[in-house]
Amino acid sequence: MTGLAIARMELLEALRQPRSLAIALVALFFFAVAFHQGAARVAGEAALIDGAVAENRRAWLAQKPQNPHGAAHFAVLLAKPPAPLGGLVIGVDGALAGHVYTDAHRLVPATGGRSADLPFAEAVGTLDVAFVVGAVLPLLAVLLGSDLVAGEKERGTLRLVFANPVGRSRWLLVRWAGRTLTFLALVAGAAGVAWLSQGAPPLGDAGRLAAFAGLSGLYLAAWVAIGAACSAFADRLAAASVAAIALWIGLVIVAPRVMAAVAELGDPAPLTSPARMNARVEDLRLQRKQLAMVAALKAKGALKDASAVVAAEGPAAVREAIDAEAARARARAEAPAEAWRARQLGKLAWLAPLSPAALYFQAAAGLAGTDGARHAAFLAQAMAWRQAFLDQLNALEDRKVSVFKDYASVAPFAFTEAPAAEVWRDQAPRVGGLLATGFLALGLALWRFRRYDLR
Amino acid sequence: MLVLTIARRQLRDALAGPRGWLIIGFWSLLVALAAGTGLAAAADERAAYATGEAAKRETYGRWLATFEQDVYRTGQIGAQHPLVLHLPPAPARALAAGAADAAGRWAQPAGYFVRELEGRKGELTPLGALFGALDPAGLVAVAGALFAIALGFDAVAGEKARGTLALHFVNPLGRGTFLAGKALGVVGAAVLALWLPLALGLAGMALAGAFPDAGMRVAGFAAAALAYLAFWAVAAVAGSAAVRTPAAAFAGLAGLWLLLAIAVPKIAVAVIAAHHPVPPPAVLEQRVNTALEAEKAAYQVSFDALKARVGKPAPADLARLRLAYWRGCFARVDAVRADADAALDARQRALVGAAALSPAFGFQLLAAGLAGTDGARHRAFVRAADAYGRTLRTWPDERMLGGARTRPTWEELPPLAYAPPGVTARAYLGGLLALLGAIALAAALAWLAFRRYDLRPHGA
Repeated sequence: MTGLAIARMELLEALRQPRSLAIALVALFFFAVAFHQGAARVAGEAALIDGAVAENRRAWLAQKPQNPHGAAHFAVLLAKPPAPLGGLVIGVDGALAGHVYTDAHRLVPATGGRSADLPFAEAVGTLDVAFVVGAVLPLLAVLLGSDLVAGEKERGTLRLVFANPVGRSRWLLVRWAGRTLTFLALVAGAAGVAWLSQGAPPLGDAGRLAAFAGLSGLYLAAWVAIGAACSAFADRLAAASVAAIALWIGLVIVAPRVMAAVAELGDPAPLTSPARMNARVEDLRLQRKQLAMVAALKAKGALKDASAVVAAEGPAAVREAIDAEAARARARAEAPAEAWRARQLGKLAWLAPLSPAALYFQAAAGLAGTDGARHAAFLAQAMAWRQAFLDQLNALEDRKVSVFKDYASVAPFAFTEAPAAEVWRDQAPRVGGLLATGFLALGLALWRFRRYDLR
Repeated sequence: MLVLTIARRQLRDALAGPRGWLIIGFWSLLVALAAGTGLAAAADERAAYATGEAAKRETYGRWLATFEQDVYRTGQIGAQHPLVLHLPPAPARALAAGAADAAGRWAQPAGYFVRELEGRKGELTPLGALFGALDPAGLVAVAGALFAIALGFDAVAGEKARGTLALHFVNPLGRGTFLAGKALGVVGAAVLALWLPLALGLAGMALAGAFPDAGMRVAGFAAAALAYLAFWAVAAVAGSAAVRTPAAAFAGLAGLWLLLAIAVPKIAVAVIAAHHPVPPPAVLEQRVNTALEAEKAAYQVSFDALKARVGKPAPADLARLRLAYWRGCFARVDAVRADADAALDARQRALVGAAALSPAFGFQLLAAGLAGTDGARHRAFVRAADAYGRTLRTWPDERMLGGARTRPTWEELPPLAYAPPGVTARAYLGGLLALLGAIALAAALAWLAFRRYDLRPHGA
């Protein structure tokens, strides 16, 4: 019952204080901008991209009968569908266009960049919901937490509280929980109003949305706990607030940038060049063309001494051998970059727990589907589709089919999302890291508060 | 002279003791890290360009070799060629990443439409992608501002809290003189503790070969960084003179920093993007493809008519037909992209206006312009690549119609006409003047706040 009484007091205090209104207004403003430029934009873009894919399919189906080789040159648009929570967490999708136009001649098909969309946007980052929750709200949360003990002491009410039979740990825990819940309720209310004010744009997958909300709540609760720890270590509210702000700056703004720089120091990204890879595939293409011509001449009886390869295996085998060589060339070119990325991710897995913000941003992008992993999965699936598309048309050529007209037999590209279990599993260590941060901060606050001078 | 005495004392207060050493040590470490990151990024960009140029020569060579096979088909072959153009390295990439990490390093004018290829962000690690690079410009704009605040937030309120403020005015000392001395002291501390390590870091980067032929740009950056840090130092004094306790000054200044260095740039970019929408690249390209269907059909009609008229068309007739086709395609592409191009131009203009809202945003834009990593330069590259792609499509036929019958050489191939828009002296001075104006505004606010400031300790 004492706990309930403390919680009721916390709620009443929160309702009376003007800072609750200030928190709600700040959150409302940032959420409104974030929804305006994120969720609304993504919803609009999704409709445009769907239209473009449909138009591309119409053009594919409307082609006149032609030879399979000509059909293979059609640029099929393969688009990455909007991320499950792309409107809330822009992630890497802010810079990567997420589409591929197939082209029979290129080993590296043209995947679009979108930096020209908005010059300089990347240097200042994107104001999405993840930024509001990950960077702006923790400042309010940590300041709110920093008032928990030192503020009470400065107002002279701390000693009065313990005139009643209530344990210090219990008091602090209930106050922290009450303050956290009040803060989360204010933030959730502000987010809801901001979302409605932007015409209630679709937010995406409900399961992931719930997980994102849970992750955000956990993260903000950890920040209130960090503030409480600052408060329990300081005698005065001013000192607690300065420490809280300094921790916020260090953990949210400075640490993630330094981590990324440290991870790359002495291990720069390997060079990749589409020009070099295209040069190689061009070689292979010409080689294949020459061999095919030799085979054709031999078939006509115009050439007696054809290449031993062609004579023994025929054009299909030659093409397969050359395609395999092209795949090996691609793998060789991409292997160093993939190894580098794996090394970087390994280093960051060790560094990220140093900053709850780093953990949160990574987990949020992973849940939203705007991380590098989903983009890489899209590119891999697009390349596989392209290969299957070319194989289908090449097989017709091998069977001496000179006219291709069954355009509907080519199934449209459909991106397969990673199973939900895989997404949860990848984010579990980060959620665990956030939980550990919250418990550590709360534990420190409780430990220090047991010997806190109440006067 | 009194001003200098107060300034000297303030300088000593700000830098002496653990706070000063902590600031200098931590800042120097960050400068070293940013210099290392900048050097690595610049070397990476140069190496990528060299690799790409070598590959380009190789693929162009192969394209030119097709002239031996069929001189009249080269236009068509050129159109299909997977030509990749590489973005030349920025003059001072090591200073500021700007849009460089997000922007594609390559453009591919294949088909009918220039494609800007994947940005480097695709290669970046999750944290790098989410937070941007730690380069000298970002360091000064974000962390430098905070360190300058840390040097000066207690310049006035701290004296009040310690009870020494009123003692200064026992002597005949004007408030203006006192405040000027305090501001000068904090600016001096910022110069010694922040700007000097930065300048040493830049000199080290220059010695390591980070800025070949960009000495003026680096000097311009150093001057802008000095003005920017001075702004925050004066703002810190103003904040200190506006409230009663150092803690309140720190909290208020941290709020100002959050607003000017973090929130305003992001909000400005978000608002600009929302008000000047540009369709996604995939959508634009599909619109182009749809628009060109009519042009392709028209070409087929003309070709069939020519064939019906003359039987086997002469190479010159075919070349004329192809040229008309290409020019028709280019006109249609321009029509499709006109709105998007206008929106992009409007965004560029709006960005310059938004820079006036925040010294931090203005400084970052200025730094990216000086480094040559701004969005305008990148856009100029994509446009040049587009124009070059068009040249390569029409050049073989134009050359043949001009009477050439020999195989062209590598040297004869028209070069990429890429002239990045540099930071003009006028734009640079405008940016610098805006920063000086911000300093004057901060000084005026400090004076307004301090004119009636209660000199007694808080609560006395």
